[in-house]
Amino acid sequence: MPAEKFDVCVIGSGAAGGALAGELTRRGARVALIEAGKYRDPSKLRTHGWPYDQTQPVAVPDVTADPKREPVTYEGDAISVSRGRVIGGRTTHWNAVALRFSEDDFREWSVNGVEEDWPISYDEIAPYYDKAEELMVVCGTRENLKVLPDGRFIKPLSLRCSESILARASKKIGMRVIPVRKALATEAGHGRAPCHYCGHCMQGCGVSAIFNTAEHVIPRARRTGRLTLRSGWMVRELRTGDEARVQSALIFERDSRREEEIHADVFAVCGGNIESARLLLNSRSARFPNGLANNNDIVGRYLHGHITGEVQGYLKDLVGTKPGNQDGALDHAYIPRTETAKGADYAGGFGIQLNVRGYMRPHHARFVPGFGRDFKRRVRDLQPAHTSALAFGKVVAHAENRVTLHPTLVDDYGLPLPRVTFHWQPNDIAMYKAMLDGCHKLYDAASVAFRAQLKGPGGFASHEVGCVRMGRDPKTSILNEFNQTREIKNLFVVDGSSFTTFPEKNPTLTIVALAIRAAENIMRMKDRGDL
Amino acid sequence: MPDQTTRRQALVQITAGAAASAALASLSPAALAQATYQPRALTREQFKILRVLVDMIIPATETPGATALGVDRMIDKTLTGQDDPPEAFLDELNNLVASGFADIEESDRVKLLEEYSQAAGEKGDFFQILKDLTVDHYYSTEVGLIDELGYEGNTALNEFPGCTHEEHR
Repeated sequence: MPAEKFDVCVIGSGAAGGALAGELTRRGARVALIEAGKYRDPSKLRTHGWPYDQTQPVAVPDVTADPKREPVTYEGDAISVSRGRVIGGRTTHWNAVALRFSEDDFREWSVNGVEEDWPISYDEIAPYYDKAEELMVVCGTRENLKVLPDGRFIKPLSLRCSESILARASKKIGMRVIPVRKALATEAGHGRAPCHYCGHCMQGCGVSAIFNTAEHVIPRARRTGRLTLRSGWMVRELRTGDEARVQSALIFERDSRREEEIHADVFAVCGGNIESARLLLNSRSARFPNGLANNNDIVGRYLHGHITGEVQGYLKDLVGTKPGNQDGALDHAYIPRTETAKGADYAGGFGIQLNVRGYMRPHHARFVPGFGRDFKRRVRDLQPAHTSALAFGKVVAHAENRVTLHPTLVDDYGLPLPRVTFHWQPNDIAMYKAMLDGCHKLYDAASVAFRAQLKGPGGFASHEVGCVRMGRDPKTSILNEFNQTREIKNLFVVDGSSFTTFPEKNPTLTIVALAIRAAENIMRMKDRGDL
Repeated sequence: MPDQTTRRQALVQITAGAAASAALASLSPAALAQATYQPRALTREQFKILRVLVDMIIPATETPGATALGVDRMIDKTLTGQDDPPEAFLDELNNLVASGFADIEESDRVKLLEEYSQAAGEKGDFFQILKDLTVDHYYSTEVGLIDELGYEGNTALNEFPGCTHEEHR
């Protein structure tokens, strides 16, 4: 019996792969979806556990690569990358911030003279942002800001006291606090349970009020009868033989190490930035000695992500008040980037997420000086006044920052370890200073006392992108404007690794929009016989 | 579960050791576990110093202090679970053992701990590790989180009203 041949083999089931598989099956394609991890039932997450009876779940559920069995090696500055191993990928435990990139965000070279312009414009992606928001269900308010385009929003989250105070203060310094935009059902009637405001968003939402491809996309795709989901299987390499065409994916079952080949007309890599690059680099042939579609040696380069800086503090107006229940949906407010001053020593901007830390522990207790009765009293008085400002800044992509295959070390599955090399550049350091200055300016305006600045800068807040970038210039990019590799027509890379550049905004909405757009283009090309 | 095991062990010891039984039987379960706890990561001398220290960091006020909630034992267990307990911490505990810290006047103890809290280097590191361990465990207890801090969350709400105070807008 000849092996089944699929229309498309999608590798990875997170924001990109999940959305892509969903859209492809909806449009009639037969899809094999390969996911290294397995299903994790959100109702078993125990998100309402307590630290004192050992029922509290760990901060991040066990859905990422085990660092002992599948390590990453790092060289350079302290940053970290994340790799999901679960159906739904990182959408199973995310804070759901869903922001559109602006018109200028696609034109860094034209507007700011750094990096490159994307091969697509805001106008081209806007209809897919609409579709992504419809799929993901995004709460928020229309604000008519050039730097942060409006979308299709449902009922926004309401601001807490601390956020109201910061909102009032922010106006004095030209900042603007707006309700956060999240892929979160804030009300019933959107085909999923609404948020119940327990504050455990990052640990995985127990009722899936937050968008999650495992719960909101893949079941629907399976109901079409056109999805074959291979969970617990991982792709070892993509095979091209002597041709410039992927013929099969060599997959292995992680538990048994059994191998199989998946045949398809089209292969779409959605493994997340690091894994997508690793797969291409680890798939070689005489024609592609540097890895697939990599004859220009760009795969793995331009690794970047967000630079983060955080200041926590205490609003004087709220010190000593009654704490109440402030959990909510973690952060409720966002400060969009302000115009970068003329003559600033950095390109790009930063946005600030307010109150991402949650209220189930006194974050300040370690920092309040002293000890004894006064200390204990002070910790209590400060608790209702806690606020945090976590700034996300743009990082300028550099070719030297990259992921390569480790020359000698392999993981438990025999795959070469990803070797991450990253150094902050002068623009990043200047950005980091500006971010912290911005947080302190906000706190000055709002009378925030007793500040604790977390050691930084941090990178990348699980927002790593850029390693298989799309672009206009074939010398500095791998993908064309359809997320298609230039050298291999039936190979697409659709996740965050495809970003040409990356503004300060969280990546997921753009990843989903690109995936929906790629699905449409793959089907169109297939119908025309171009693939 | 570890607490229950300890308590069970304690009860075994009571039946075995007749001499101590009368005194111990009159203690509350928490006090009992505390009085008979066998430190594992720390020596008995180090543990004695630790108990004094954690109650100096978080003393009893309207709510119980650190040792009454078992923070001393939790720290010992945390250190037991660590592959590599912080050496600076253990060294400094030994220094305090050697200097008879537990037996000096309370005012002298406070003065000494204040010095630690303001010191740089090893002494400062010691104080910060001690404080981190103490507060992390204390405010993770039911009494610490709910009675002392007034936390009311971790529950399901139909609506999240947000700020209702005119003066904050």
